[in-house]
Amino acid sequence: MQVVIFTLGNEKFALETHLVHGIEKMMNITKVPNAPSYIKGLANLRGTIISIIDLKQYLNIEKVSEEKNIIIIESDEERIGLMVDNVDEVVEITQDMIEKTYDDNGIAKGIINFKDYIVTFLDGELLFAK
Amino acid sequence: MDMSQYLDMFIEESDENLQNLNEWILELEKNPDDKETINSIFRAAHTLKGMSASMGFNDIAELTHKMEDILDEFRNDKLKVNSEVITVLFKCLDTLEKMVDGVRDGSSEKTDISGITKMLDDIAASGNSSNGDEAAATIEEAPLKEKAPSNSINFELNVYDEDIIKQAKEKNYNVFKAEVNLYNDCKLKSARAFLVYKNLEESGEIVKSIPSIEDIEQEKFDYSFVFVYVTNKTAEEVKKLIESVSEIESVNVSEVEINNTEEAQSKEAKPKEESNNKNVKSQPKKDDRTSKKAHQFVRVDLEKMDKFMNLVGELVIHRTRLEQLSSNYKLTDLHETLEQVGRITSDLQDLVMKIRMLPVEKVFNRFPRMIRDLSNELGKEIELVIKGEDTELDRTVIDEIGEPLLHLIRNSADHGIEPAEERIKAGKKAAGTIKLIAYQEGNKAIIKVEDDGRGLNVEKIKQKAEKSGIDTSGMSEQDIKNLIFMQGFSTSEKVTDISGRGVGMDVVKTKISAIGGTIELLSEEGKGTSVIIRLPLTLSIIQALLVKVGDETFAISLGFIDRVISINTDEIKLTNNKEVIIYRDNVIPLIRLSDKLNIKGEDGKDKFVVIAKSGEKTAGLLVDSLSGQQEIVIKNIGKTLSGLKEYVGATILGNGLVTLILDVAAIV
Repeated sequence: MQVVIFTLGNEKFALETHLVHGIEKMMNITKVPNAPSYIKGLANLRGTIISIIDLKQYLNIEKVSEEKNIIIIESDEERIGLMVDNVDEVVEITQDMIEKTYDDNGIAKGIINFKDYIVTFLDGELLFAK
Repeated sequence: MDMSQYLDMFIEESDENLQNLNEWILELEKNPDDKETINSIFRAAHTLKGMSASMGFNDIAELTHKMEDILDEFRNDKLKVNSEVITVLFKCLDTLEKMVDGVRDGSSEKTDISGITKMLDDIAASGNSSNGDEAAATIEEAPLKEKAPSNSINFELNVYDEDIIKQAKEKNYNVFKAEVNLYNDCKLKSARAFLVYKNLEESGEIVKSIPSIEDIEQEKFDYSFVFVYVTNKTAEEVKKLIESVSEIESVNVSEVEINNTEEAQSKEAKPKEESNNKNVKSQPKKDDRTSKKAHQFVRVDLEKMDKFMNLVGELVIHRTRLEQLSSNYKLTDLHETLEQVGRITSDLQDLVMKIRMLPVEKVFNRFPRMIRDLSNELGKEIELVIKGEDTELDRTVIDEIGEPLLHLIRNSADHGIEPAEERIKAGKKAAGTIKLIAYQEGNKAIIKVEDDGRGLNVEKIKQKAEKSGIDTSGMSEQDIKNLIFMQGFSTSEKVTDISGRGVGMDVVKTKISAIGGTIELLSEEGKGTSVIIRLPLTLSIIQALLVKVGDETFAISLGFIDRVISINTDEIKLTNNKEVIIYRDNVIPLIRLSDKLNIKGEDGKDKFVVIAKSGEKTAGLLVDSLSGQQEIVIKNIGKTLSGLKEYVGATILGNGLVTLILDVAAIV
């Protein structure tokens, strides 16, 4: 299976490519007052208005640098953008590289072990289920 | 030939034709002597027949053909229009609708049409028997007609020719077919033929010639030719005109008949003057109808429209970028061109939005027929009043609104409107009225279904509620009335075919909420019930005022705005620890948008107050500055933010930035 690897703060994360609709450069984002803090605002994606989520806020990761990319995913028939620091690469992984975790907030499918570094494998479907 | 590509077109057009038939037959019932309506019905039925036959749906063709027979009887005054016949015609339409639906679903199931065709046959027979000799006459005529064209040249009219001839006939021109034989030793065949044509063209028009005029000019024909001639001269005169050319052996002039209208025309030919007068009288009406038809439509996939709209949006954004570049580099030439581009893109944008809008008429126009059927079925006199059918809604909303409205109207007819005796006793008109009203209010479309019937009986609902274990103590009357929106709640004692299965109102409510609308019920016992549906005009264009609060820009629909006043914050007064302003001698509450939205407003005392009205409530919204008024497109902001009541949606402005649209109703 293919995954997109991206950076949030000092950690690396991955999402399955079939969930990803595109990767965009940082866009102009309109703030939405009174919205939950992890919702950064709204952006214009080629004529469609999408919500942009500050993934670091959402996952409680400390902000160390500016976000450069937005990953567009489809969740519940709606497109949303995930602000990430950087999209690193798209790689092919095998099932045996995934190590199960017992993550209590249940949004990770496991950890992908690349030997020299590890990546948290997010479950795109569970990500915004709550 | 592969028919599948024509299938969609066939279905859409059949739907349209059936809808028109419904309307016109309804009209026919009201004005049984209106020949123009009969003709319109005839035309629609004929189109339907032709289309279905060419698509190979023979059942549909057969049934419409039988219908045509009946209509023809009307036209020839052999049969009187009465409600029985009308009912059978409506049944035909229902059957046809079912058949077209079958085609749409691709089901191979055959609809049984034997019953309905028998009814039609019976009617036709009853019409014929009373006018036996006339019918016989037409039969006698038929073989003659068939013989006529069997002469030398094979002469066939195509649809196009028939159309011209039909139009000519409608305008009371004579249409002749003339067959001219030249002497066999004629030397200047084409010259003779040319002279014939020239003579005739002075007082009419040759619409078809066999061989073609080119062939005749090049002498590519034997010694005879046939043509169709439209003129106001009589057959005799035409014959004389032709014979004035030399070397002509024989001329045969006969009137042209068109299959489906032949009887009418042969009848018309005799009492000409009379029918002339009639035609003149009905002329303006006919024009109405043809001009309605003259609109040309193209059917477009909705998805393509969405794509189109987004592309136009993109165009606007890039135009703005170009504009920035041109001003950065001070390129005047480029700037002028860009202004042009700007105008065109905004026109494009407007256009694409409007293309998606449809008048609610599309939904409303099936209800008159329904009311007719319902009033027959229920034995109540019901009048349906439709207003504002030109109110436009986005297509997606139009598609969804039909079913809930149908439920509501049925409810009104079944439960609301009382039987005539009861109405008279209550001092009301014997005929009940159901009103279907649509209009736009702010960024909402309102559709009202009102009846002047008996209204909701609160006691009855209470009893029913208690029976189903709902505690009604402490509930207001309105709360109790609203119980009818609950699932499985019906107060009707007897279950009727029309409504009262307890699936009505809750389905209505679910459906309306699903498309983002709200439903409100007002009812007064003895006076009537009115259901008010408020629908969002998703993707619709509204006029909005752009306001700034701090660094943020928001749009407010002009529909809610009474006026905008400038204000010095010192003028704000306090009462009961709440801020108010005096506006037109009234004290109205002031809402600081910066507080409401938790953003930091600008410092300074000179600000603006937008006086906004929502229903009965009026309030002033304090903003920092105004940045103009413009047409905006409401777009959804998605599920992640749907919990926020402050916004109805967002829009993309010309510069490509997203701007939130405030929901005044929720803020005030």
